[in-house]
Amino acid sequence: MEAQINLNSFSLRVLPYSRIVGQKTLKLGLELAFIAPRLGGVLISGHRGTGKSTTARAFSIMVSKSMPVTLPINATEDRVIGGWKIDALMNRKARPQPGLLEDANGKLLYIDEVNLLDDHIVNIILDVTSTGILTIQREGRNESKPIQFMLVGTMNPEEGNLRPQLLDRFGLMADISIEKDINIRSQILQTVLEFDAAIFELQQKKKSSWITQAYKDNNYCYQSLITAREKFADTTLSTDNKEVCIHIAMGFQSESHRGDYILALAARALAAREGMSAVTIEHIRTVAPLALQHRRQNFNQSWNKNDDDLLTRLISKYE
Amino acid sequence: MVPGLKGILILDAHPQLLVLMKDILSEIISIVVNPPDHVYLSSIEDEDTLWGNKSISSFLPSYTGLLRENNGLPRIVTIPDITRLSLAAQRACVVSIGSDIISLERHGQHESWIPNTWWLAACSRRDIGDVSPHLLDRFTLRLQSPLTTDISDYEQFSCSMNSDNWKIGLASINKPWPVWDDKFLSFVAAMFPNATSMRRDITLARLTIALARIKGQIQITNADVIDAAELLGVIPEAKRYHNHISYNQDTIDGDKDIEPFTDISEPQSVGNLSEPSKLLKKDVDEVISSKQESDIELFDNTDILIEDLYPEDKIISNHDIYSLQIPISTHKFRIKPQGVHIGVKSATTLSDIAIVPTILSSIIYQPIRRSKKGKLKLFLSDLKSYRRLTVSKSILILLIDYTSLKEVDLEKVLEYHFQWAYKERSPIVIIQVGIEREDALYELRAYKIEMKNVLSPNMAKALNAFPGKATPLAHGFELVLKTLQNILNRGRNTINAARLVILTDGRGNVPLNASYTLNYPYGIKREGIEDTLSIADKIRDFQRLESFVISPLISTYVNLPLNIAGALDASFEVIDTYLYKR
Repeated sequence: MEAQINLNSFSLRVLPYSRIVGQKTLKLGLELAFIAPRLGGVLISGHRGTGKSTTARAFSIMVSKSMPVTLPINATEDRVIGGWKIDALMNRKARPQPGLLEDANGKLLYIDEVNLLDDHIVNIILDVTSTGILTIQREGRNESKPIQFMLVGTMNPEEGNLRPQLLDRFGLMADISIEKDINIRSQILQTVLEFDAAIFELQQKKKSSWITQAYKDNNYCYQSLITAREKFADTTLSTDNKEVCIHIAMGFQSESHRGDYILALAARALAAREGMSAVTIEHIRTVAPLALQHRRQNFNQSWNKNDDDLLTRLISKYE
Repeated sequence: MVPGLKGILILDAHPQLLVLMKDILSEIISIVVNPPDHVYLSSIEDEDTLWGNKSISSFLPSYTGLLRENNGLPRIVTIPDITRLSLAAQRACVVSIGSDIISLERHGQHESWIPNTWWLAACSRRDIGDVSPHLLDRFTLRLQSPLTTDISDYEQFSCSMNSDNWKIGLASINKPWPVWDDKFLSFVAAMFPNATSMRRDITLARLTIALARIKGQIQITNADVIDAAELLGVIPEAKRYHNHISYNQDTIDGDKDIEPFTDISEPQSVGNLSEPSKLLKKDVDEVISSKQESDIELFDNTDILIEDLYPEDKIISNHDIYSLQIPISTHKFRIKPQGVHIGVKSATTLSDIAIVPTILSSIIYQPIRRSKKGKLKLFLSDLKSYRRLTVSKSILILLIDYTSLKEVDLEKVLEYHFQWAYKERSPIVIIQVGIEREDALYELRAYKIEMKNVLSPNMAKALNAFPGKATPLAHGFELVLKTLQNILNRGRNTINAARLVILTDGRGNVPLNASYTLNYPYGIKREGIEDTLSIADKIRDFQRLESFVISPLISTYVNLPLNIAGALDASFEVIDTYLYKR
């Protein structure tokens, strides 16, 4: 494993996914979106300094062995949709330059601070995610191509919220907050400092057993996700449990039909993650906050105890 | 060096001190890595200035951009006043400081790099509420400037930094990474129990490691963590621990004099940021100087009361005014654009054409357009116009005290003012006082909603908010004051008329301080009312402001709304009975 470690690699700058402490909901959301790509991605909402970006990047490194395709908040239209290679143009050669949406085809498209994106860029992303087709009609290009990517965005709600249309494009939403448990905070510190020390060892041209083991664990986690993804197609959702999904989505006044569909899909993905062949009500209960939080009427508020109570009441009818 | 400590914010720094700090940091970086580049950011940088452009002709050479690094060479970005930073620069800071990777995807540029930039910013404590908390959080390392205004102190300090002694520690850059134990972790983890971010814990831990490394130690000691905590202003005087480690070659080479970390206190009792530290900070930089007290005299001679270095925790942020989101344009067909341009867009009319971006967008096609040498061939699609900051000529500010208007039809009461706002195409600000909140504690504060115009779909929801149990009228007036200051006094804003309409019975029962601290007021008599009148006096001083006070039908305390109207020099009227809901 160490032979593969290149200090200049961007990937090595990010804490390995297997070493991330806590963040259970967020990790579950990312893993479910990987197992069932039709979920459409994950929106990670949380206050500053809660490890949103680190977790998203670490996940991408684990599943694709590279940093995610990153769409920065100041990206211009030509780089998002695609344009021409300017250097080639200056030499009288017209060579298309793929945009970030095309680069992300089949991969993870990561948008840091998604709520700070220019509205114009948001509209472009909405068009592509809703149709699954990237249409380039600019600067003399006229092309259409099918595109599918796992959309992962992070946002700090202090900076304002997303438009409901874009919110709906994220299959799942993980709302994360700072850890209050001193023991978990200590573990987070331990991990960060160990990672710093490990990077220092590599800079000193030494081997790092910590990094080696972390990457081994990454690989183990990745293999389990691949297994779950293969099993996903065979995981079933009974008619009764479909009704449960619909009942819950309606109970939360989900603003579109996507709510019950995503809930059912996520529950199947979780069942596959656990190696089970059929969805149980407990699976539905576990994924409901991820699938419905941003589809509720009061989507600006975090999932809270009232939501938990409502979920329990809605499910109790079927238990 | 230790990662994650590259965002440094100095509170209340004199400009000369900031320059001095920049020079010192530059020297440190030069010793450890390479001499850094220097960049200053202010209020005028736009996206293109920050991120550069590709070369497209000999007369339009490539421009690197202030934030693009030169092949990984170190760089120091200095921000003399973070409150005046341009929106583009603020957004760049948020995505760049502390990031593992920076991605640039602009106008044909497609690059990613591992940042090697140090950020050194100054901010006055008084104005820190004007900066996005999100942006402030990126500055993990905080320092308090000494209160001295004597420039000679800085010069003296500068001379002392020329001593070679303090540089010895930096030579230990390749020494082994120090080890730590669980007690250290538990102690640090408990230092910031109320912080909203883990960055502070991590910063303290990393700073401790950095200090230990500078001293060449192989193990974290009590002294290291106390020194680091002192630098961050979170150790009270009583917990101060005297570091006896001498900074000499013996210590660097061996481990004598090193005390492993022991549990020095009850963690919960230290560093609670809700209470200002009582520490008299005599030496902000004493750890870096590592007890060379004879060399560093500036801070020794200046007694500084270190309050906590995260003052944004204790104030109500005006952040909704200073959001990092790109503002929505309210005037699509402006005849004479007046806002500051913040970017470009494809032109739809021939007004406000951005000449250089237009040339830039056309020039890349000249080879395939077969243009004659030396002459540009422009197409209509090349035209770019400026994207400008939203400006309006007038604004309507409504302060609505919901606790006094339970039966009132607000839309009818405000109809006259809404007609004015519609005619003027004015944006509207609603200050909500006394609205119901899920957590009743937050009913002690007023809240501000901004709307593009009177037709905003949020208007009905805002007007029909449910009344709460408290009336933080003084805080509502404070928000009005801040809003007016922002609109009428700030930068090149072009609003030349503001209309303030206040609907209240004047019975504010929450003192301003209670709104800030979120502590329930007990035994309050007129404090909330006096606070309100005091702020109203300040609001009256604004030019180009027209004020109205509208009071519900009341049988008692009728003088309260009248007093407010008097303090504001406002027109006063009472709501007619027919405007009450039946």
